[in-house]
Amino acid sequence: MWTMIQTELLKLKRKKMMTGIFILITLLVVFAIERAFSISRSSRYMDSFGDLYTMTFKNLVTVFLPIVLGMFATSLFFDEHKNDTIKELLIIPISRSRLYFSKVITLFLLSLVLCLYTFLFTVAGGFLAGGFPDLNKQTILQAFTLFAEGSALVPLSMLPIVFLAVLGKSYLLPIGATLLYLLPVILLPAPFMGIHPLVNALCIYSFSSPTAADMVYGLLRVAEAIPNYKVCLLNMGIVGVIFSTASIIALKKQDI
Amino acid sequence: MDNLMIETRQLTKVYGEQTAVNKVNMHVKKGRIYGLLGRNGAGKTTIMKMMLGLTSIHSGEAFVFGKNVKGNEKRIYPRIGAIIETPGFYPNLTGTENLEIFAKLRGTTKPNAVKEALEVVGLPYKDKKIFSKYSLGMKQRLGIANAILHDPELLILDEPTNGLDPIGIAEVRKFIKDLCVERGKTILISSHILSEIALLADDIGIIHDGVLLEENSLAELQKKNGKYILLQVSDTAKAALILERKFCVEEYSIQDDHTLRLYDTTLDMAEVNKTLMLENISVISSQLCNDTLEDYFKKVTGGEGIA
Amino acid sequence: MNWTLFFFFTTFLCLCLIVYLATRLCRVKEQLFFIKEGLEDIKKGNLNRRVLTRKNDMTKEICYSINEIAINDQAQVIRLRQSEQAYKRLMTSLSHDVKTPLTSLVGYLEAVQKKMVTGEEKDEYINVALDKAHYLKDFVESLFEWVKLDAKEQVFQFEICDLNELSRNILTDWIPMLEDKQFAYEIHIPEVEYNITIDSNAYRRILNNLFQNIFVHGEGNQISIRISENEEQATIIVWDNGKGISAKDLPHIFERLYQGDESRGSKGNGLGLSIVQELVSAHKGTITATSTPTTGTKFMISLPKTL
Repeated sequence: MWTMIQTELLKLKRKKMMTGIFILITLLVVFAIERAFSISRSSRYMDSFGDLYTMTFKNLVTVFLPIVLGMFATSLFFDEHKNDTIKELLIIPISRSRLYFSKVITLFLLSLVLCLYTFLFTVAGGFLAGGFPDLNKQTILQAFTLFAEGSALVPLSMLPIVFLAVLGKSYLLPIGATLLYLLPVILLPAPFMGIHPLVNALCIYSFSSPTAADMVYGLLRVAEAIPNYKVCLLNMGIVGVIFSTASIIALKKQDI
Repeated sequence: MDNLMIETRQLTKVYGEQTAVNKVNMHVKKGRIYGLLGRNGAGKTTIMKMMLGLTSIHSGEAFVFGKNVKGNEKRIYPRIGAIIETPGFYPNLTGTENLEIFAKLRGTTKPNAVKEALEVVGLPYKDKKIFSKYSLGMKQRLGIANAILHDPELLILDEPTNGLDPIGIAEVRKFIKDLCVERGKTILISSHILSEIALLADDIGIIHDGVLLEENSLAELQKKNGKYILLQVSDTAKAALILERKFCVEEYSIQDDHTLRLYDTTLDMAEVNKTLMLENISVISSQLCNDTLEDYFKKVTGGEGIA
Repeated sequence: MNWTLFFFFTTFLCLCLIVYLATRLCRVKEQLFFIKEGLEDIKKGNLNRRVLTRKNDMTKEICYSINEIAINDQAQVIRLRQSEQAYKRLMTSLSHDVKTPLTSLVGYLEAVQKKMVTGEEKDEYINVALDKAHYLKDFVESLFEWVKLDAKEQVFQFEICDLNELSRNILTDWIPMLEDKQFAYEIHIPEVEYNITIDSNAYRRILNNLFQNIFVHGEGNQISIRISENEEQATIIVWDNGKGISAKDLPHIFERLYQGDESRGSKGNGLGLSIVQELVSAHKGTITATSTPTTGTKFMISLPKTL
């Protein structure tokens, strides 16, 4: 398995998409840091380090990361078809389920790298902008936990999109689906609690720290209690397993 | 049988209502080149794909190395090298990087397999050029390098000369021949060009509309090929003398003690027979063979011919 | 509190380690299974079998060694088989290609002995028989030469000499013959010294055979030879305006005993060009032929300056 993931990483060499992704994420952080510089510490919106990192985090996990991972997953699966390399892999032989898992793990790895990257940048930005009274070990650790949760939960909630990418006859379907998938999260997340994996992920974040809880309640625009994180996790797990199984079955049925 | 590298039994593939491959029984013998001949769309690629598990088998079985392909993939495929249609590679990587990925996944037989495989096909090692900038010929070469990277016992090559220029075709042909003769590989090759197969193969299978019409060795088929008169007489020495003196025949050969082969088919055989009789040579039989391999294939495929 | 956390952490690490080691063990076990299977196959005599291994396998050195043994043994087996086949080919050749002229020779001599012909006709018969005997002698000589080359037993004496001077010497011997046969000739050899590593006898044979081929098969009346040289190699182009070689025959002309349909029979022995090719390849050079029927044939030989 490790060899397969290694080769998945090798395949990314010289891909323009990767530079694109990193530029996008950097822009996101730079924007947040710029806010930290321009808004005075006396303002309610930027009076703590929590305000800074939740701002980057919520942009990251609700918009940027899902889109980026959706595109990335599509290219991981679809490019093997486009370049006709899938047949070369299958006659090695590599089983279709191993192929699927190696690609999903790569997806998780990319998510981890992006989250860590954003986290480090945000912390550095916090120090640079200065003036945050609560910028200490404890808040940094809290931020780290939040980003770590995000890095695992976002790709997990993207497994339905991966399923579409596996079916993929084109780029269009999975990328269009990603946008549709995101729509309820951005516009009206509350009714989807316990159903939509990305919303469930939001619910789970709220349990990691009070700052995170504030952010989640703000995003969900609800006052009442949100489902227990165990329920949400279970829900996400089930969705993930269902779509992984569906993906592998679809892969096995595919005629190359 | 021990000697068979590939055997298919009643192999069938149905796409919707169309039967692409119909009850094919194929036999590829060890150490030989098997040419699968048929027009585009006859089902050659589908057969190869079924052997390699790229397409599901509708019914029937495929055996490679005496084992059923289904369920033994891990034991069979590492011993096969294949090019199906055009070889696929990652366009953003160089040739060497591409091969290194496949070497990593598949494993190799020696420490510097990638370098050697590239040398064999005449591509530079550690070149900076990425695959998408390769010419068609270079792509095909890289495909061959990938197919022989793990020194497989069996090569399955689907139209390996497709899209190459005449010089490239000759090179690939020689290369394939050498793999068989000098390294003892068994090769299954498909083509829609009769002359191509006739130059390479030891055994030929003719496929038409998904049906394997005939399977035979080239030597056997070539006996049916050519324009000549087969003359069986009691005394070849005397017959040769008469033919030379009286009929000015220069182009003939003596097969065995009683058989002459005359290459001039315009000879008046009635006259020849009569003269030979007069000289006390009994003519056992005389037979005109006027079939070319092309004619023969036309006959087999029902008048439409191949290529 | 801190202790529980520490304990938890160490347990987690240990678990990870155990899982890692277990997968390693499984991998080695699986690899050992493949090695065992491969070795059994090799033991049964399948020297084509290889054992694949990855760069991070613990067993890679063992696998590499197994493969090396199999590769070396196989190379030896194939060498043996090839010399065996060369011998077989010699036997076939003797039985087929000697039989025809020999039988006809017998026919002529019998006619003379049985006094079927008298006077001038008898003399003519004896002359024909003598011609045939000479042809046979030449053929057998060529055949042995070819067999020696084919089996790689010929010992070459490579020395450094001036290719241009050597070529001029060889051509000087041919000029009377050219004039006798009323051939128009054109010779372009650079007036400089070009030192090349070459076996001069072999080179003479190459040119002689090419000229011979043109006389016997070409049916033209013009011939040209052009030599050009650069740092790495010398290129010799021999051209004639004869009847040319059909596209169907062209790929075969260097094959032993291949004679185009029209030339099957008495003229030539089908070994000349084959010998030329063997000699050229012994010099690590290449020879190619291009031809358009009815306008002529061009042979191009490239010889490297140093071996």
